[in-house]
Amino acid sequence: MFTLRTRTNSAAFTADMRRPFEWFFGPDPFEGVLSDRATAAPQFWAHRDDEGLTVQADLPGVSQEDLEVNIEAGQVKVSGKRTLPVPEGYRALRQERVAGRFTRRFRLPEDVSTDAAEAKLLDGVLTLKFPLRPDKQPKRLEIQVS
Amino acid sequence: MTEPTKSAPRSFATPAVDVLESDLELLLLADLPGVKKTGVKLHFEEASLILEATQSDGQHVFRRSFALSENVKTEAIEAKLEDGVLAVHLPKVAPPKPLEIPVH
Repeated sequence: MFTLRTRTNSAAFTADMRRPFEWFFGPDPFEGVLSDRATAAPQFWAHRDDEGLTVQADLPGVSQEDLEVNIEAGQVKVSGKRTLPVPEGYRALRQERVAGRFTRRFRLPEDVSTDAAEAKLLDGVLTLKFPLRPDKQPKRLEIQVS
Repeated sequence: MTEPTKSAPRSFATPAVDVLESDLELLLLADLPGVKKTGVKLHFEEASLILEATQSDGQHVFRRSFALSENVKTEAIEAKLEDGVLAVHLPKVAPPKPLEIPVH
C-alpha cells in the first residue's frame, strides 16, 4: 500500500506539534500564586547587621542600563524596567514572568551612611549596601597594659 | 513606606517561567535570581525535565518539573544561564517534509 503525505496531513502534524505545550507542564499547584505575582513588584529583602543595612531585590534579566537607584533626603528610590520581548519567529505559549516598569521607595535609618553606599547587580540580584555611619559604628576600646 | 525588616527565612520556590515556541524548538525561560551556573541542575526522570537551582547564598532552592512530549529531541537540549535567567532550548523532532511530486 502506498500513501501520499498531503498538505492536509501536514496541517494535522502542525496541530500535533502544538500539543507539546499541553504536555510540557504537569498540574501546577502554584498556578494561582504565580498569577498573583504577575501584578506584584519585584521582591525586596532587607537585612541589618553590625556593618550596616543591606537591601536586595530579585531582578532577573534586568540590565544595568534599565535600572536606577537614587538617594534623596534619606529616601532610596529603586526604579527600572524589564522588557521581555518575544523573539521573531517565536510565539508565547505561557508567560508567567513579569515585564514592565517598577518603582520601590524606602526610608533609610538614621544611623547609616549614604556617602559610602554601594550598589551591585549580579546574577539578577541587586544588592545595596549602606554601611553604618562612622560615629555609629561599634567601638572597641584598646586595653592599656600598665 | 516599607520599613526594612530582617529577611524572612527562605526555602523552596517555584520559578516563574515563559515558554515560547518556534517552528524548530520550544524555548523555556526561567527566572532564577541569585543562581550561578554551578547551582543549576537539569535532569530527566520518567520523561520529565526536572529543574533544580540553588542560589549561591544557599537561601533559596527553585524547583520545577516539565513533562516533555515525545517530539522533543531530548539529546539535543541546550541550556544557558545569564543574569539570573535560564534559557533552555528544546529542539523539536524535524517534521516530515511535505512531499511534492515533480511534474514532467
